[in-house]
Amino acid sequence: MTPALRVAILLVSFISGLLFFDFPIVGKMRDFFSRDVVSSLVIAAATAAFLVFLYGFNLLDFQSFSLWSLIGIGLILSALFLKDLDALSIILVAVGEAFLRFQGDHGKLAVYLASALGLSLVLAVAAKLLTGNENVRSTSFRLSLLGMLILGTGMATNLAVNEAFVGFMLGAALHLFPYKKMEKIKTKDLETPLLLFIYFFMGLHLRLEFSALGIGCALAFVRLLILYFVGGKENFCLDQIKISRIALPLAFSIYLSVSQSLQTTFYLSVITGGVILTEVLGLQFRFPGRGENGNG
Amino acid sequence: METGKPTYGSFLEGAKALLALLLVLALCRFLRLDLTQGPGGHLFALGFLMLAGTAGGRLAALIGLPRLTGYLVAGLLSSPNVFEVVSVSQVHSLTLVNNLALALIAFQAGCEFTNEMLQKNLKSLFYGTLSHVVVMFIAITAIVFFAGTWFHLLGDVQGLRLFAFSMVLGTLAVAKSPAAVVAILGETKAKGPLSDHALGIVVLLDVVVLALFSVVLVFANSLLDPLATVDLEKLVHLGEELLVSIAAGCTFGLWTILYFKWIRQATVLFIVASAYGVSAFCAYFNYDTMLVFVVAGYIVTNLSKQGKPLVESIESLSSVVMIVFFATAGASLHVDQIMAAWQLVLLIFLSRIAFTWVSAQTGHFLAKDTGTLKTYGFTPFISQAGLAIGLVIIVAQRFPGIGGEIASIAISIVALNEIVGPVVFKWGLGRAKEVGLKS
Repeated sequence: MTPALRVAILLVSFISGLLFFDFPIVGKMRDFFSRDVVSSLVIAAATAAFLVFLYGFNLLDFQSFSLWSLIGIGLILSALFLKDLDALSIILVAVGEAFLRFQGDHGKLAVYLASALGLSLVLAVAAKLLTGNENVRSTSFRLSLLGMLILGTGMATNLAVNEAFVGFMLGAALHLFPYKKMEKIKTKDLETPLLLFIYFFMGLHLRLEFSALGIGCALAFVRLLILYFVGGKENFCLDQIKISRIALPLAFSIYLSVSQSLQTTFYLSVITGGVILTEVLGLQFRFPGRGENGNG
Repeated sequence: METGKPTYGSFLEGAKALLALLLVLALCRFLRLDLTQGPGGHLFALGFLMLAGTAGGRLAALIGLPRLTGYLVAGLLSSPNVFEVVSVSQVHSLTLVNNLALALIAFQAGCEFTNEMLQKNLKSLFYGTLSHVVVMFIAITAIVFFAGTWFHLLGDVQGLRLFAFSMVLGTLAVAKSPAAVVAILGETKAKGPLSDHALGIVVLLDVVVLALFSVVLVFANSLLDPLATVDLEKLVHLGEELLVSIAAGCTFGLWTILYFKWIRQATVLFIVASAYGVSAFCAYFNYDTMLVFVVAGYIVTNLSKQGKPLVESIESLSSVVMIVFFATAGASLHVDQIMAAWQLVLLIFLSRIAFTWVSAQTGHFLAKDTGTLKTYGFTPFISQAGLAIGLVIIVAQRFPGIGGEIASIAISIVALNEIVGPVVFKWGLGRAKEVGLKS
């Protein structure tokens, strides 16, 4: 099932890429400096600091652990705990993964990012040529797009580039072309079954580490505290509890793309722990509210 | 041939599609990326064949050929024998799609069998099937035997060995392609006497050929191996398997009715899961998968009102699956083998076309068919695909040595029929004025 999961991850990220430019760019810029984003970035920094704290107490037991690894892990985990900023999450994950893999070799890092960007652009041009002026609802259009995404996943896998990153940039590139018809694809209809598919089959791959699950829960709790102090208002906190729906697929993409080592199992366990805790907290905080309103 | 006049713009779109594929291949070359292997190789092959098939189908449609031919040619050009875009192992790995494709084809074919259609065409179907089996089997067996005896086209294979060889090739010549017929009917939206006749006979022949093949294998084995005896128990066993397959098909059909009536959610997922699940079940118990799905489709259409939603769900899936199925079939064709024994291959290929016409005419004469059905009734039966290839593989495994020779010749003939057959059938449907009549 791994190839199918890779394709599903690329598709989910592709949808995020398509949706990224949904708003007018000015609105997007305003949105980017909003309180939500600032608080998310504060949380990212705090997450990295928390990791350094854990490292100081020898709680992170990695092989060949270096400063670059720490930056990489910090970036990845902070990205995974962001809320509703899929684009930023994907980019941070890709960069963090590159830091982890190349350990400060900037040349290799640049080649990695350039090949991912080049691959996405070429695929976008090819997709544009293939689909031409076809109706977005036609079978031929859908087939060409699906074929291109499967082919892209295969190429990303053999290039050892994170498929989520390629998918996101492909979606963004296709949207940036004079290609507004892509908006007509009912992305949300497609996204939910894909996410369910990923969650379901991810379960088969999970080899959870209890210590890592604990770290994930601790991170989620620290994040909640920061949210409270940054946001101030309870409603804001409640709104921000749940982390992005693509956090788990992204964690799984790291697990798949960097050979399935101890480290990647760690990320998967941390984020799973974090997701479980935030989901539980989200439920707990919502129930009393509903009771107060008399809705049961 | 019924063709729309291709416009410059349409050709431009086809050229753009080819350019897109070349761009992807150029990127691979630039990055020195070997996509014939590695963990992403299979995904690349699947994606590339989908895109090449879509582009090939579009170009084929532009020049009036069936899209299916475009899929096959695109697969052939990508194959390890021509441009080596995909490797042998990648082609083999994609045969997973074949199970799904064959199940969908059989399911859809079964849904087309209404009681009304069967009652109307019963005589024509019976005589048509009988004549195709008898005439084709006797004719091809005789031609191969005499060609081998007089012209030594098979080298030192003579006498009883030659007769066994001829009988096996005669049986393989009877096999048709339900997949190609269903695909062409779906593409052209054809409806009428020729469409009903084609569908009915290819499905019936699928079952009859299996029975004939088993009988011929028993006799060929006794001719090739002097110590072997004619084991009639195998034939009884075959009869049992066919009966049990029908029973399994009924059960699966009833289950499908219940699902569509009571649940009717995620129907596509239900079909995919059923296709793989039932195929695995059939492989384990040696049931005829095609027969099981045909019977199930027949039950759904005739015992309930769920036939239409079932066909709609199948059609929403089949466009993707068909492209991959036929492009993979194209990539599996061994064009190099055609040249190895081209005289015999050409002789059997041309004789098969001629005797397809003779068989069809005999059937129409006995059934007293008239009109366009009589004139173009032979056109659906030239195609050969999965069933013939499956039988060839069994022959190669059952008779080491001579089986390999039979297999290489038979595969070459199937390759030619696979490319020529759909073109002739689409032409026949156009001439019979049945294209586009299906609502």
